[in-house]
Amino acid sequence: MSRAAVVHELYVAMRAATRYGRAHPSTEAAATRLAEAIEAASPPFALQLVGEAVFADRQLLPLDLDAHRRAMEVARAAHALQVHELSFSVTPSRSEAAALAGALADGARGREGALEELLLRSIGWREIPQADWGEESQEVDPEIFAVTQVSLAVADAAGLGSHGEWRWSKGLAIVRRLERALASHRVAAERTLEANDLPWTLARRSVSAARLAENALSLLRLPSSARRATVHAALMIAASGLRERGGLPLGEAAAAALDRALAAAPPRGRISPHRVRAVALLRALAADGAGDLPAAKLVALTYRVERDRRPEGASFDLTKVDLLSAAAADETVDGAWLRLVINAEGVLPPGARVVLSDGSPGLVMGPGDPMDAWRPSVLVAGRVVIPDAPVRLGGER
Amino acid sequence: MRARARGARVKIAGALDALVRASRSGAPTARLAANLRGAWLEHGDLAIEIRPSGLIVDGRLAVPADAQAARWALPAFMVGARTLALAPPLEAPDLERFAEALARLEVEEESLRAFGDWLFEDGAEGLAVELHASFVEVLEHAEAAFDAARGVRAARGAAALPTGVTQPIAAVELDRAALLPELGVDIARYADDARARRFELTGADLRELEDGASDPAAWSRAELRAVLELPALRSLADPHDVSRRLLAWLRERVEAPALAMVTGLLGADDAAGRRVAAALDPRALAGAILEGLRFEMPTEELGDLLAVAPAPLARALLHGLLAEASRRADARYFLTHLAYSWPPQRWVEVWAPDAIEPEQARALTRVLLGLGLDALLGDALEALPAESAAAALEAMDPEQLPAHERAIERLASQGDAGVSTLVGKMTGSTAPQVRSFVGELLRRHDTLPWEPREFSRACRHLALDESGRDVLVELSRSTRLDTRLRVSALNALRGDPERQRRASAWRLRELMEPPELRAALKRIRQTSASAALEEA
Repeated sequence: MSRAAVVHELYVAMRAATRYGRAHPSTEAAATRLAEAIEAASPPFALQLVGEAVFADRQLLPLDLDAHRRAMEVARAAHALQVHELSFSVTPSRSEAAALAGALADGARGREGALEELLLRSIGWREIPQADWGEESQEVDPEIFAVTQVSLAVADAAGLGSHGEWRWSKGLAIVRRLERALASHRVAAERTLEANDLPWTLARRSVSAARLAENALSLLRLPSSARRATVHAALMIAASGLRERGGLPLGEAAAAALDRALAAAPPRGRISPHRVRAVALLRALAADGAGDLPAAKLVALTYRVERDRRPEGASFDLTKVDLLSAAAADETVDGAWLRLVINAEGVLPPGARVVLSDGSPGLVMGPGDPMDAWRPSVLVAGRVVIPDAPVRLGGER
Repeated sequence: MRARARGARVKIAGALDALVRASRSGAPTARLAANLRGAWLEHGDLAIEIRPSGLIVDGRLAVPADAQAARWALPAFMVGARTLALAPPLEAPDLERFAEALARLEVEEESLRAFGDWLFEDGAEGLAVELHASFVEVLEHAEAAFDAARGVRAARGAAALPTGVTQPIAAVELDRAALLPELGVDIARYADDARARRFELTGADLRELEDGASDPAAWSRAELRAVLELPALRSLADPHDVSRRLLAWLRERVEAPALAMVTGLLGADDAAGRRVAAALDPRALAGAILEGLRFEMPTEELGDLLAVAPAPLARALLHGLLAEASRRADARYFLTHLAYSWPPQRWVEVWAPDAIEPEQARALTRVLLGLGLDALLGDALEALPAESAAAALEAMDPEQLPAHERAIERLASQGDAGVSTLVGKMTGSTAPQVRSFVGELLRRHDTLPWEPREFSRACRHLALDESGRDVLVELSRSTRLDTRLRVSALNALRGDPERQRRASAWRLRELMEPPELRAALKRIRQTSASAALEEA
């Protein structure tokens, strides 16, 4: 029997308990069937009741409309009890199943804490923080949301690799996450990538390149199709061209990304406008630098920044401000796009090493005084402060 | 809102669901999609809300979900789709594709993910789909495998950083970085520039970047180049869509890469290339090229295209170019250049001369003469309709006309009035061979309805030399020639008494001549007699 059947039996038992009470023979019969269904579904397993969906061991349960309606009744009862996950370690006894059904019935009636009174050997439950995101996104802390999305994007990017056919779906997921993260909390998203002590892996640098593009383009009023394609292309080139240190020249990186993009067959044999657009950017960069697509210049800049992040022949990593200053000194870099990037990131982006007026070293964490870019919020000796006097960059003499 | 209008809007949601069901069952969808498109465009502001319970229109449940109707509403909702609205231009095939995608949608992770990606990738062309986080994303977010406490600290900027990073840093490393030739890190200069606000962007800068990055034409061109140059992509593209984009590009501006692409397509040996080439309507393609052509460059690429283009396309292009050349000097110049890069025999192969208008013929003549392709011009003149051939000949210098005797003879034998004009034109030349040609022409075609003024002028022209005056004698005695014209010929002999006598010598036939001619002959004879008497 499937795990969807467990949800069904949960619903039946909950309804029976609601209507007849826990001790009624109908409820006991329903509890027995629930226990049997759990046994048939081979515990241990867990059901997650998140949003308006039900997952079994984090896999979405395929439910038809009626089954979904029933499942939502169970979910509402569980949510009323502050529960988003029910786990079954072994087959429960009939009494345990009946107790669970009774607690859910209490939840359906709006009685909170009904589960807290229970001590069940085979059944566990927990609340999943942030599980209401989606329909109730306003309740989610935007900073935490941004950090989470960026972290998930880096985790996704780790699965992209630098060879083999491009995993479009994963790439899209990263673009989507960055889009949401930046819309939610721009600085937190940037800081998550730029100012932490984790190593600059290929995945992190790839996501950083894509974020740089997304952040810069967010200053412009662009159609989402153009913005997403540009960000995706930046991700593809970075993921395909960057190496542990340095990376391939831009043209080769674009060609490698193009090969990967074309190696992946589109679903149903029809290529989407987004893919065509991203491939057009890659082709332009692989063939003639940028062609007549100005957005390609931004992609080239993001790749350059992340390629130089860990320079070849060196044993150190550069910060964003080092990279921007290097790009600013290079006449081959398109000035307008570079200025856009600097404006988006801030002249003192998070991660910049600065020296305070009293000589103490600090690390920029984000904007500080809105009237003075040279008084950012700075991490000094474990505390974040907005300095009284302007800071100077660590490399300035 | 009136009940009738509300009913119509509810029906749109029902029609969308009917289209999805038809698609699922494999029934024909074209008509349904066309009807839905028409109805939806009439209510362009309509947004259909998607809920697990069904489709909502104007706040009311319009199509309740059950095992059959709006079955796709639940999975679409799970994907994060919340509202559907129009995003014109919307074509019926767009709706068919959207319905097809919905028909395939199941409450199953892979299906949901693919549909969500498709929506995010702008797959639902013509529609604006409000897309929230999918349920799977909600769970991923909730279960994110990261240390939440650490994440919060990092987000709030607390001590998520190792103490090492906060130690005095940079000088040594930056010096080393600066030594790397590809970097040239110069923090001090960057700081100076930043303090001097040299990195600031003006509103104009932003607008320029915006315009560049969002320019739909530039994107379309780049996408088209990618599709046409990359076989892997070409095989996936919709040929009609490609052809539509290509025409749009050409209409906007004819550029060398676009023409090279069309040429490549016409000669493509892969199935996808042939499909796209087949989708290109020759008339539409020629129209687009002519619309976007600026008559500067690229002649070579257009020549290459004309060299391989099927005859209908080349013909349409050539005729269009000739039509432009008949009006514009730059087009004529362009056409002349173009012809250098195009084998001359192709002109004859493709041009369908019977359809060339007189004005086009004039332009063509100028082009061919400019190229020195006189022989080709002779062929052309023979193939042109009489009116156009006459126009073409008129475009030539009088000295060039004798070389096209065959064409003029053809016109004359067809009794074309344009020959009179040509003769009139030739009288403007003092070249003996032209005069001789005019004489022969008049002599051979004395039955033509010559235009009296032109004929009279021609006669005066012929009178300038001996052989011409001999022709005048013949003409004046030709009984087939119109009386007025014979009188003109007689009059032109005024300065040559000897030939005048020959022309006016009495013959029995004169009794049959019209009175005005007899009077003229009589007058000449009297004048001659008087002159002889005076001489005696």
